[in-house]
Amino acid sequence: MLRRMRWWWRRAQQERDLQEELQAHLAIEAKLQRDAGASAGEAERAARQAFGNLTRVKEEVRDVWRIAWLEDLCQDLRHGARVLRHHPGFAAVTTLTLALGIGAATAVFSIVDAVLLRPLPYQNPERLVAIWGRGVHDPNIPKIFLDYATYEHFQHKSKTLESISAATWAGGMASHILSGNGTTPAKPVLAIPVTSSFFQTLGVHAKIGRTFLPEDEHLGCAAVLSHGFWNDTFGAREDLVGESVTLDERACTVTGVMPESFHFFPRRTQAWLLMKPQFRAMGTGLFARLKPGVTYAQAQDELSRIHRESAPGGLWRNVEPAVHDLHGEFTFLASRTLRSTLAVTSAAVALVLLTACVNLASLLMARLSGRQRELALRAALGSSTSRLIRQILAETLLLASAGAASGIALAFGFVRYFEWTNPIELSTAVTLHPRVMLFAVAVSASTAVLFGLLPAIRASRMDVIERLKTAGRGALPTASHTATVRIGVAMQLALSFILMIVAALLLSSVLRMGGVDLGFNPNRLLAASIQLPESRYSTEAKRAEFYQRLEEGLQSVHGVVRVTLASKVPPDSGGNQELQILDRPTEAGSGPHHVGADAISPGFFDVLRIPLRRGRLFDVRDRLHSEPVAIVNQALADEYFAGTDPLGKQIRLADGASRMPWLTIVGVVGNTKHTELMNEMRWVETPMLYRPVTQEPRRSMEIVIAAAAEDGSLKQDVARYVASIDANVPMRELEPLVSRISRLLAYARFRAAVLGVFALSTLFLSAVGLHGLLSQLVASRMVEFAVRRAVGAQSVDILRMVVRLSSTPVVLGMTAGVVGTLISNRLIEGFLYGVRPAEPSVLAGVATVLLAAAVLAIAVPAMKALRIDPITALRNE
Amino acid sequence: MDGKLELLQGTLDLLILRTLANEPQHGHGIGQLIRMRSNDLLRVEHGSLYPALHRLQRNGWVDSKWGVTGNNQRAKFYRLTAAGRKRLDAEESKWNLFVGTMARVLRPQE
Repeated sequence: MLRRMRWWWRRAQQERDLQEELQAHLAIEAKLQRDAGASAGEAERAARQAFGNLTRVKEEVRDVWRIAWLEDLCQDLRHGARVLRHHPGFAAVTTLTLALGIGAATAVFSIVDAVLLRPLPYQNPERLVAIWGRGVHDPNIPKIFLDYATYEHFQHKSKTLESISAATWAGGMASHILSGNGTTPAKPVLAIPVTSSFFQTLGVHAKIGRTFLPEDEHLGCAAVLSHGFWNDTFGAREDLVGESVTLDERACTVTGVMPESFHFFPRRTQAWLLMKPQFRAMGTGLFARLKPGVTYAQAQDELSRIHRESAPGGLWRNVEPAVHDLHGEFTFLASRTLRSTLAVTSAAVALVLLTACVNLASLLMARLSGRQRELALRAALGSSTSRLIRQILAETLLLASAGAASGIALAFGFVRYFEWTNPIELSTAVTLHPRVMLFAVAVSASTAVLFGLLPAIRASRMDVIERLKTAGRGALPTASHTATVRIGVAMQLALSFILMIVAALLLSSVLRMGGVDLGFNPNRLLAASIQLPESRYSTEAKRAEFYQRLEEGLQSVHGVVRVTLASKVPPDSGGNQELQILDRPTEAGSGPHHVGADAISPGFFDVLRIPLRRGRLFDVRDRLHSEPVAIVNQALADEYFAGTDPLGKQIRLADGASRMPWLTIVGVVGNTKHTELMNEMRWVETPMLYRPVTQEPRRSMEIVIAAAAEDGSLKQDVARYVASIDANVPMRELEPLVSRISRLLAYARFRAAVLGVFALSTLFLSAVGLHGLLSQLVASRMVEFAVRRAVGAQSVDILRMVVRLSSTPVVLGMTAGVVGTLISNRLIEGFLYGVRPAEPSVLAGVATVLLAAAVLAIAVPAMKALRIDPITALRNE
Repeated sequence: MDGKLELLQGTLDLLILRTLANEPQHGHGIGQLIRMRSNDLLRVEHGSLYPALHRLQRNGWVDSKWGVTGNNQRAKFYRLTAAGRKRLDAEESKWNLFVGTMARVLRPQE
């Protein structure tokens, strides 16, 4: 800061000097004119005329100054580069240190920016809310959709909401089929039904055409396309607006296309459909805009009141509306633990950055102290202090730029990797926003100034003589300075310890969770979902017939060992329905909502190798109009029929919409494990009931194939066969079940990987710090070592001394690390599976790694100490 | 013909150094001397002279000091440094070589 002021002052001085000089010139000319007989006024004018344009001359001189300054800078930079080339080790380590710190911080900040900071692409997004349903009595219902009737009540009666809309993706409402047209096959489309007020509530407009108007209700079907969908599938045709596309074998008029920047949940939505009555049966999500000045509490109170007064029937009586901020809900929808994960990661990265800066400080200080002699000599030979400082600044700037550039490259690579693995569904794309790059540059610039320049300025104020006297021995590191560095290194070691433990625990959790027996055998099983178009498969009979033909035909495709159908395939499982038992009447809505129901073909349990415990499996007896039967899993039997025999009992789901008949239990099978919806580290076994697909032929089912071997053409053969039965039935690509299971753990794996990288980076940085510290200590004790050698100390004794020097920070670091671990483990308990936070084996393993790194770090200084030749060392004194 | 010739930067530098070889001089004086010694053929633009002076100073070939003229007026005097003198000698020999070659080309028989 001071230096900058001096430069300004000097420039001002230069300007004043120039002005004086030119004025003096004019005065001389004027005098000559007066001597030649002109009057004072004429002389002045003549002088000015003879001189020419004063301003232009000043500009030209200023140009010279500017060019000179630039040339100096270039020279300094080139000199700096040359110096750094002579010390490649220092340059490399410094750059890497800075790169690691900046890269990690930038990458994490990009994600935080995308998730938390960047506002949603809607008008005044801070006033937008999502209204979910919340269980009044049953805490197990965290967030569910409300019903359409509630939406209408709110729409008519609410005074706190400026506008409200509904959008649903419940129960397959969002799954539609775009018909093929001879050349292209039918495609599944994710299209969300929304009310006409949806886009108005968000305050967004279409890029081409328009969004929905209430009049569009008269159209058979109206759709607004997403930009990606319009571009990829329809080749960005400008004339598509007003035309119709065939969705679910019905003509849907395209009213508009949204801009590329628009997105809602889920991110891969391809279109929005105007909500028709048939979409209102399942629950729906409500999205609204608060009136200006209305608080969340006010809206919450009003909506709860309206809901109560509307006297909801059935299970809706036990549900109340809950108002949430929309941005927060998007984060929640991506992952329940996203916010906390980001908080933990940000904290970790801040610590890594701090470590890097501490290291950088030590490195630069050490370097500076090593150059005392050189600087003193140059000062004695006439280099001005400011020149020396400028050269040091140039060096530091070069290092900082190199560090920042590599850091940004690292961050870029990390962000790419993040997007590629896509461990969680974020609503925005993560990019290296300019704001983030600015952050990186700011960090590196301030680091350069703080740790490169200030010490240099401080050092330059020292007396030249004094510098020459103490040069070579490193006068700069005082006792207090060394103590600071020791503590710094200890802190870094502690941090690495903690991070390594966390990473090890996370990794172990992932491995353990992945190794759990899930109750079925996924090996060599492939699955793909298909969807029957509503129009031509409107009756159960037609659907059942299709599935029978499908199963029989697929069995004979080459490479298929066995085929089965299921509405949901493990590990996708579970449900949130309530069970009703014939002889046990209970009030609807009062029981736990945790039962799932699937439709399967008879071979399902065999193909997945789920054991049969009691009774029988489905077979040819169970047809569309024969006695409705069900198979339950052990969990259901244990929960509802403990102590009695479930076989023969009659059950059904309480959900009024599906209108399930009473089912007779004919068999009990083993449980399968699955995860709850949101990426939690927990396998659960929930009660399931299974119905034969002949009795409940759903519109979308999954084909499960036990394949003979890794057969390349199997996928095409199956797809071809399905198309041969009906070309308008879209089928997703066959996917190994093993991949699906692996995907469940993607988020946890990613977390472990990230923390692993942080841990290794910090370990590296600590090793560098320890190495630097010890080099300094050994260097400052050269004399002592030499003397001891001279009086007969053995190598072992010298080594012992070196070890003793390094023991303080290492021991301190490990102790602090163990203590820190106790705290940190409390924080990560939610991310662990199958491991105790204080696992002794993990602690021991990490301690060993840390010690090994410490040994490596002190190896080089130790070598130097051992090789001290007493005579040369003492002579240099 | 007006007599004002466009001067190349290097030539101007040389002229200035030559002018200062004998004694220190201020900007106005340098301009006058160059004009006089070239019989009024070379009139240096002040837009070129002063930048040149500052550039020469930057390069360490001249240095400056405020002083008083013969007429008791304040002016900034420029003076040749040791390095400047060396530069002058080097440039002059180059120039003479160049001129000599040119002359020989124009008058081949000499």
